[in-house]
Amino acid sequence: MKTTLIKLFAAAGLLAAASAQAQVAVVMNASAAPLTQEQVSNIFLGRSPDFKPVDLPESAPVRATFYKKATDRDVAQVKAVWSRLVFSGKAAPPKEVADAAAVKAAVKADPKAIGYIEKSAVDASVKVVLSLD
Amino acid sequence: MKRFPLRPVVGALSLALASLAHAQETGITHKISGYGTVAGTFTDTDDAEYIGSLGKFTGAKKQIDTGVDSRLGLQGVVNFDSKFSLTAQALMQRRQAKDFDVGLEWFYGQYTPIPGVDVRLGRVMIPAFLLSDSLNVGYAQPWMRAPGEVYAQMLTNTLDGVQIGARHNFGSLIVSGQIASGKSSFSVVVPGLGPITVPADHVVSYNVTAEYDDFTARVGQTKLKTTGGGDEFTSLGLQYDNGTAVAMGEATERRNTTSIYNNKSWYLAGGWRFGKLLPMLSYGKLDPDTENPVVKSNTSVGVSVRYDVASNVAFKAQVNQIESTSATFTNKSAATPSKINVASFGLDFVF
Repeated sequence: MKTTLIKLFAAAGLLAAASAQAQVAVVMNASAAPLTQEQVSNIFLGRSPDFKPVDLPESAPVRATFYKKATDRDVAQVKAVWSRLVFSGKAAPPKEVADAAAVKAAVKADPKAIGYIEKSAVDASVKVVLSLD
Repeated sequence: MKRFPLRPVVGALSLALASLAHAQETGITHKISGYGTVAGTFTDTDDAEYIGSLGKFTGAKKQIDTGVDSRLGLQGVVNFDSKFSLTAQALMQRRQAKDFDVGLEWFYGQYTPIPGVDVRLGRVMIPAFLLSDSLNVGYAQPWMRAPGEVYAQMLTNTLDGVQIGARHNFGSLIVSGQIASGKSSFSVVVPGLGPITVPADHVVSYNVTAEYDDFTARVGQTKLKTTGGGDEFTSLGLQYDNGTAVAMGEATERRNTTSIYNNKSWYLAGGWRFGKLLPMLSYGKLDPDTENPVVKSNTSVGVSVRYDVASNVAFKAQVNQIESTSATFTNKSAATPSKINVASFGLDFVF
C-alpha cells in the first residue's frame, strides 16, 4: 500500500514536471512588440500576411502543445487549414526548421519571423512576445 | 474542366528546371506538394448514375465506382524572390468519360508588391462559392463532398485571365477581397450530337470575405458570358469553426438567359469534433424560380464522418439521400426512383 502511494506521488511529480516543460514561449526578434494569443493564432493559421511563421518538425512534442494552446486545434486540423491555403495559392506554408536553436536563429535574422520554443530554451537572442502556460 | 495545354506546361517546366539550376546562387526556391483522394462510391439503384459534380458522363451505380471521388493533384511553386512566383497545379480526375484525365487547374505568375496584395496572370480557379478554390482538396474539407445543390451548378471551374487579391487585418477583423476576370470554356452534352465545347468569352468573379475570431462571412458574384447567353451566380456564405464545433451554410441565386435555369439554392451543415473524429450532418435544397421539365426542385440529406488517421491522412465516409431530379445524376432511365441513396468511403491525403 505504502509503495503504491509513493509510486503514485512519484508519477504525479513526473506529470507536474512534464507539464512545466510543456510551457511554450512564442519568440521573435529582439525589436518585436508583445502579441495576444488571438494574433499568434491568426499568424499560425495563415491569416496574417505580415508575419513569417516558423514551425518545428511534427516529431517535436512542443509543436502539438503550441498549436493546442495557441489555436485550440490539433496538428491534423492545422494541416487541413494550411492545405486549403497552399493549394489555392493564398499562402505559403510555414518554414520548418530542425530545433529550438534553429528557431532562435531564424527569428533573430528576420524581424518578420515568428516561432515557438520551450520556455527553458529562451535566451537573450530572442524576445518572448507571448507566453503559453 | 479543360484539357492539358502541353506547350505552356513544357515551357513552365523548362523555366522551372532552368531556375532550379541557378537556385543555389540566386536564392530562387521551389516546392513540390500534392493532395489526393482514393474513394469508392456506390448507390442503391442501377437506373441512374451518380456523378457528384458536373462534367462527368459516367457515374456510380450499385457496383462500387472508384472514379467519382478519386483524384490526384500535384502543385509546383517556384519563388524567384519575395515578389515574383510561378505556380502550376495539375489535377487528375474523371472528366467526361475518361478516368484520371489530366487538367491544369492553376497556372499563373504572381506578383506581390506588398504583403497581402497579389496580382496573378494565367489560369486560376473561379472562386464562385465559399469552398470553390479548394473544392478538390479533400483533406482540407470536413466532408467527402460539398452539397451538390450549390456546388454542382457551375459549368466551368477555371478561367484564363487576371486575378487580384488583397487582404488587410483591422485589428481582430480580417477583410479580404478578390476579383478575377478572363475567358473560359465548358463542355455540354447535346442529345444526339454528343459533347460540344462552349466558349465563355468573358467571366468575371469577385468576392469579399470577413474573418473575425472563429467566424467567416463571404459575399460573391460570378458572371459568365457566352455567345448569345449569360449565367450569373450571387452567393452568401457563413462559416463557424472554433476547433471543436463546425457550422456552415451558403445561399446562392442563379440568373440565366434561359430562364428555366433560374433558381435559388442553399445548404446548412454542422458537426462536432470528438478528438480525431468529426461527424457532420448536412441538408441542401435547390428550387427553380418556376417549376419546369428540365430543372426540378430537389433536396439532399447527408451524414458524414472524418477521422484523422495521421497528420496528413484522413478517412472519410459519407451517405447522402438525394432526390433523383438533382443535376448530380446522369443517364437516368424511366425506372429511376425518386430518391437515391449514395454512399462513399475513402482516404484523403496531402504531401
